[in-house]
Amino acid sequence: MPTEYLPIVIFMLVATAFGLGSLMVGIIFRPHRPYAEKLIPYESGNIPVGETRSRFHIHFYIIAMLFLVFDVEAVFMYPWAVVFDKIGLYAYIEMILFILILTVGYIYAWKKDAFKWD
Amino acid sequence: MTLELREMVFIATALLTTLPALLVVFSRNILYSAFALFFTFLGTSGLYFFLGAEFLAITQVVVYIGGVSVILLFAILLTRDIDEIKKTNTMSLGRAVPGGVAVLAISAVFIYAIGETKWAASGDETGVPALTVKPLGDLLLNKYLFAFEVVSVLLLAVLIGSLVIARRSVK
Repeated sequence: MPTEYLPIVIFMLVATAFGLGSLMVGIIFRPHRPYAEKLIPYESGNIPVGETRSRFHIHFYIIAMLFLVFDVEAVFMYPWAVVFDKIGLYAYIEMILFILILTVGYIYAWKKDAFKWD
Repeated sequence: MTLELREMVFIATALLTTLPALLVVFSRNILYSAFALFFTFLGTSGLYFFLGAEFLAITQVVVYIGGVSVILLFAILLTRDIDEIKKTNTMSLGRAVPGGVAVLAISAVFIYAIGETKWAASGDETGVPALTVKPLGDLLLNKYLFAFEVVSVLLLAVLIGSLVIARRSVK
């Protein structure tokens, strides 16, 4: 493994330690006085009504799928961007074509009201 | 010293991949399984770094941790027939046995593949490039241009397909 990735590992360790450390400090220093009212789920000061778990709207899933598709598209832009200055106009046209094909899907989603909440 | 540190990091990464994977299988709560899978994805990304495939590793983080995990969580939240979230990941002998057989079969294939692969360390004269993004971009835009454009058609099919399926399930 190339050692140049070591900073990433250190960064992740520090980030994890910071998160866990903050929680630990909280546990050590905060007063611990639980009572029944304090332990009920917080719902803006009201007594919670109904089930905690409710079914989500299918629309969230569609948005997530759309996100995933354009996420993958963005991933393909990294290697393209790295070699862009070397290949030039040719690379530009190739990427435009790539994006145009996906734009068809975007327009389709738009026309099918995928971005509308009903 | 460097080698020892390397081994330590590798073992940590391998554990980060496998221990949450066990939790994915054995947790009774499917939501916990989904969250454990985040860490497995992260560990897999680390293993890709070890193999010198840093583009694949970053893709793993961006697509799997950022996208697929969220899709998984949404799929759980959208499911109708969950009464008690604590008992959603059910396991029984009837499922464990075929599962075990499948694991053994896949492991055999993997072990065979690992044995057959000619592993090259980065920096060797055999030459895995130290940074893979640039050569990858070169190949994608020249030699494998057709595959690159087919990817966008594939993504288009995914987009339209998911919309069609989701729309139908609403009605």
